[in-house]
Amino acid sequence: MTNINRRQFISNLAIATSFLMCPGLKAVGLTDSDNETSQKNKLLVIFLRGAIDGLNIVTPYGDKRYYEYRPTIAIPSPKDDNGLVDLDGFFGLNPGLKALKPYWDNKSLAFVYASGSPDPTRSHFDAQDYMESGTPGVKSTTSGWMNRLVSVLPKSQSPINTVNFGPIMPRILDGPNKVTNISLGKALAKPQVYDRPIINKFFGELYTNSNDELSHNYNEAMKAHRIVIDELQKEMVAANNGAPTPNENFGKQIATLFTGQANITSAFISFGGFDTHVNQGNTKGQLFNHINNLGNGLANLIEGLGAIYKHTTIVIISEFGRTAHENGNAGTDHGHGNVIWLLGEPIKGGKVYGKFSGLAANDLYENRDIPVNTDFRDVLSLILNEHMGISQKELNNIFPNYNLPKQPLPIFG
Amino acid sequence: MKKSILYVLSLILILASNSQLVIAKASELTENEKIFQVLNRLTYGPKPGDLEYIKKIGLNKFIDNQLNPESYELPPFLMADLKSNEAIMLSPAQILQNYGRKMIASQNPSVTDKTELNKLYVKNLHKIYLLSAQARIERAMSSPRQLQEVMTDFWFNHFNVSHDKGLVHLWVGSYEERAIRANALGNFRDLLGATANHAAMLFYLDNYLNSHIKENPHEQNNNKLKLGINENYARELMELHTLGVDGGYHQNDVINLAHILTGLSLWHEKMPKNAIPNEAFGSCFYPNRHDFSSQTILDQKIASGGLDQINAALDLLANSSATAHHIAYELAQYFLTDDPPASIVNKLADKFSETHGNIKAVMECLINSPEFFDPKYYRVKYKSPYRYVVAILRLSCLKYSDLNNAMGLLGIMNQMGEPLYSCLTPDGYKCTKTAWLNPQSILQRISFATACGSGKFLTGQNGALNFELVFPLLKDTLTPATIDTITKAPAQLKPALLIGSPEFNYY
Repeated sequence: MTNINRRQFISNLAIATSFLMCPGLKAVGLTDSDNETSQKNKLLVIFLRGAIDGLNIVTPYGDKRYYEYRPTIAIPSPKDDNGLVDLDGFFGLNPGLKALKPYWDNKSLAFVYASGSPDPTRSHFDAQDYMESGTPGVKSTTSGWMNRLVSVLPKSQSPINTVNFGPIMPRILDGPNKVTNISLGKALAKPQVYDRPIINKFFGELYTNSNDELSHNYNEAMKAHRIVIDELQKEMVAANNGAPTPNENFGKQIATLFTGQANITSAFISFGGFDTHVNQGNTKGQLFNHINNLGNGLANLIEGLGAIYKHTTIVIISEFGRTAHENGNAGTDHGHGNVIWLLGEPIKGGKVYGKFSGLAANDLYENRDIPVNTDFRDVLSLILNEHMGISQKELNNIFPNYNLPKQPLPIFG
Repeated sequence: MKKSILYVLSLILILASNSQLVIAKASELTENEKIFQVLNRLTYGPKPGDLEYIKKIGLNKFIDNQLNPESYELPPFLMADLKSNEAIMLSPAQILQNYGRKMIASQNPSVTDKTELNKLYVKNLHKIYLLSAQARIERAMSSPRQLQEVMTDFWFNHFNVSHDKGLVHLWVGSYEERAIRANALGNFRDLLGATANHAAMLFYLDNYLNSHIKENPHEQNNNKLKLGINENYARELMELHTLGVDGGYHQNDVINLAHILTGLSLWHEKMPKNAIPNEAFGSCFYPNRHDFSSQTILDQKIASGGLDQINAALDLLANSSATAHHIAYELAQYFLTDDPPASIVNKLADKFSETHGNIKAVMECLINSPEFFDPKYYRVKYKSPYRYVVAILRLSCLKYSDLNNAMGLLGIMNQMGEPLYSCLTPDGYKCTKTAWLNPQSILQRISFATACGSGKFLTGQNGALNFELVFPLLKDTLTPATIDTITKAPAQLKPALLIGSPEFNYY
């Protein structure tokens, strides 16, 4: 009850202060009819932990220094059979992400180059923490920005409005607002111990007898659990042939839960294994394998979303980039700027946004890394404002002490 | 609807006919409830036999023993386990030597592949993590010095380090043993100094890099690390460890304190001659890296003097009334209620200041306050996942060595969002209901309770928990409806329902 009142209070505040909007932002007031529109729009945030090597994801093959800097791990130019998938004559896409090329072509895939956190740390720990809290340089922020987002999202009918796909609640979803977590994988569609009739019966009795907060939470959880089970079992019946490997399976499961009864509004998932200090590989090897699974999973996801893709933005971030030069172990070390990936029909795609200043030593951050010319919050704020209908006032709570630049990137046109 | 009206009516009748008795009951805990309050707050929860034991020696004596942990000998099996536990017995440098990358390379000369070597290193990290966790959990289960263990959890979170960050992984057990547990009921200033000087904290909050000069004396690290002033530890030292976020310090204080802390870094075998090592804690003061100038923090000038200046700064912070208030609030929140009344916080803060941070005296003051046994605060705290798991382990009366899946238990804490030693942020895990109560957590607890009930994590004569012993112990904390449900349930489900009940989530 108090939650709803608080939300209404915040909504009213937003309307009252909407004349204070900065020029770069759409004026958004959360009236009831807006609520309905916003509710349709969905956000999936994917975090690639370990700092993915952005230079080998979207490669500036047009800058020949790329090949000088990376004698063993460079991805060959698009002319090569196994080489890059050309994007715009200068940038090419890692062939492991071939499955995403159709979305570049239909203009729902974009990238923001030389982007990341303004904080200079090269510690995974700190950099992830800052990106998840949404407050670079400030360690004492107790909640994650996606949790703060929950308090201003319209309340959905589904008990799984905001969800983390994974066994533990990540920093980005930490905080006072209720979020749920669901572990993807084969076990998800399987009944749990509390689905066994006798256990269900007796625990159900314990948690309705007491009619308190705990019972309320129990009932919410069981509702969410049943929806997940129902939806995924339908899905398994529909697609029992040619099942993808578990690594690619994430796309189908998420799509199922974004659509149908579950109707998730915002979600988070993270993948690891990108800290490629040693033997990174190029057109095969560890990085290729990871992103190949990721790319195929994303393509499955988009296919599964169907009509919902029109209302979905997927943003893929990583804590920082990696060194422009390869190191002595055929890998790359911790760098600074990276590339942010954007997917979804609302995106004005088919374009590499951001300021790429080239690979000359002078143009690199500390003579070694891609600089950060676009703050990751610039991109996220635009998504929240233009796509999720979050007002300026509310953005100030989600990203405190931060202002959008005067000329935001036109990623939504 | 009708039922509840009848209930209210009958309640009014009872109140009217026997008002004195009802009021008496509401304003004071029964003797049994007082014992439960002490077991709930000063230990990790009751286990079979505790009630009888406390009745025999008297509640005041039990409290006194808890405040003076040396009153109890540790059981021999526990002593033996701890003595052979390298995570807590070795110095940080020895642990690095025995479990670090160099040792792996020298022990496996035939392995040259870096990925393979890394796998071996990760295996070692796993081993030392399990040893650190064992030292914590087996004492929580079996040590009669329960308050010392509960306070270790409290202070660990107050002075949190995360094993996920680099070398902290190797040192988290040593940190807890040498810096935290040793001072858990001692003096706050000693505790503060111990955490400041332990390698785990120096690494976790980056003070090992905090240097007045821009060169690194550590040979193995001389590649790309940029050195200079690092404010990370200085800021948290004031914000989290002492004064509190509203404790009246400013950015200048942070910078000046960071200058004072320059040169306090990690122990290293190739340290220069003028360095002052603290081998037991794995730290070292490097005069060459220290800024020898006087500094002003909190409007007080602190004369130059190397380590003496650092100690003077710690004295100043430990003695501030803001610190007293900050610690008093946290203690009251942890041991009494999520939103403690100002009356108790002020009382504890006064005691803290008056005794110059005598932790035992502050705890004594808390326990002797009328608030401690006020029915308002009886069983109102919600168990964190860690406490929930440990409370079940205690009920089982098992030893750590009886557990058939200790790693699985750590995995459960991870799934429940409170992996041991793994709170990434320096503010540590919360102890409040809002932090831990969410829909998924209830189902996780039910699954875990059911698994425990069927002996998945716990072995023992009657499966996991001896229901005949545990049910009578907890019966008074259960509602009639819960008792009714458990009574009706088939025998094999009873223990699971007991520890998976709503009531068992509170303490």
